[in-house]
Amino acid sequence: MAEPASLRPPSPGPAPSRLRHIKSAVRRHPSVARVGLTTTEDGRWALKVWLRRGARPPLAAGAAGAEQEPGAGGVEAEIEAMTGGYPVVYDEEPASPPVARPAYPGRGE
Amino acid sequence: MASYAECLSVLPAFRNDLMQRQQLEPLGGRTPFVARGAFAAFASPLSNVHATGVGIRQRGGRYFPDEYVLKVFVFDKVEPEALGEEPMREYQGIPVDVEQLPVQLVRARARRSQTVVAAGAPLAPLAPAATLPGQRARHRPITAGLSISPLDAQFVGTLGCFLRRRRADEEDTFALSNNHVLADINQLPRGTQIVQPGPEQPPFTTPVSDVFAALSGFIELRFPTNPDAPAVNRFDAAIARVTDLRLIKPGTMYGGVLYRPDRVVPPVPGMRVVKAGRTTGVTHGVVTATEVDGVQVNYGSRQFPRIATFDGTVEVVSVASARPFSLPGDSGSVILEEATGHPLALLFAGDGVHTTACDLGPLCRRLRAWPI
Repeated sequence: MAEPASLRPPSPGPAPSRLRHIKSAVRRHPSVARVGLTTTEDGRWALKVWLRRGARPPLAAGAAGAEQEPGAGGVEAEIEAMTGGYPVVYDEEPASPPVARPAYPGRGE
Repeated sequence: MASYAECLSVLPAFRNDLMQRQQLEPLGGRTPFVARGAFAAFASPLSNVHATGVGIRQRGGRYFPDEYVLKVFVFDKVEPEALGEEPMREYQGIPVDVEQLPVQLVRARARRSQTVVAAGAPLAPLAPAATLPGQRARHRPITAGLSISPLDAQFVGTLGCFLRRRRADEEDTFALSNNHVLADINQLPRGTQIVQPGPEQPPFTTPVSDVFAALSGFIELRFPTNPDAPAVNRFDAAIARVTDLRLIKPGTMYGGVLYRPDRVVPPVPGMRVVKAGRTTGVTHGVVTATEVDGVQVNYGSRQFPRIATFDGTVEVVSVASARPFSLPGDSGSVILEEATGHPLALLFAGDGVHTTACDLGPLCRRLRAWPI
């Protein structure tokens, strides 16, 4: 499992612009719901990829949030073929999207 | 010599710093198109600057294709000797090149009368109700991190911070929050009155005497109209012009949070952050991802979802596993770097575990207004 986010070291500096280009390309992959930038546990820049639900086989899905080992198959292999050696941190698209709404004090909120 | 990629990587921070410094220039009857400060990109009045980017060095009228630099475009160029100040030659190790790109003169608008911010409270503060968290109570002067809402609304959000916009010899002060707080998702007209606090206690009404600002504008939230025309958003933001500066206290965040608005910083993964919000108060978190594209956010209900897609967002999670970083009602909170108090993001959505926010630097550049 990935180390808790709060223990991650600071990033090593500004994100490489090449990684941003890769991010744009990865976003177009049909199994990718979201993609952003993050850092690995040892402080390297990485892609964070949220896969669409069901895009992974059930066994692989148990490793959500972990940095994938190189050479993994399926969707991960397709994505890593695009990333030029940058690490990828996978997660699964949430079951329900984040909600943007105010609070309603009259309802006890 | 810097590479193109290195120049690009520092450009967002450079723009933040440059535009924020422009806001600090003294007012005084000058137009933004008067030539001044051209060489000294950072060292003197900056109203002369009208664009920034990455380019190649220009020296003596010639261009040098291998020398990538940060470009500052000015209306008119002034020799450094005329400024009496040391010109800025580089930013974070990247060379800075100032280039003239003149445009026609434009007449400045008439100076608007200004009201001086008074440090004292014009109205006696009301004591918070015993059962009401402090950030939901009425406060005068009003600070960032408190409950706000449109007049007569049934919902509440958070006042993220105050912004200042300077144009020519005008100055305006705004309250910053989300579109879905101040404008009820594109619905409320400009001029809608904004109150502090929102309708927090029975009978859940908002007296006119609590008005402190009027909706000035919002960035329209776009929803897809058909599958072939995806609508992508970057910001959920709105601003309300403060109608009486004596009612507010800029530079302060409710809850005793360190707040230093003199610099907006780019969010970085691993950065420890803090926010003060209407619902959960002061919470601490960590940035887990930046520049996140393709985030689908529900502006409706579970039964009747209304989905908007966002690019360029920031993801934050709480550092306290049992306590979320945000909940509904915290919308509009400004997220600060814990170590420095510098603002970096505008909170607008969450799923109970992850909080989604807009990158504040690009937002301020778009609004042409900066935290105070």
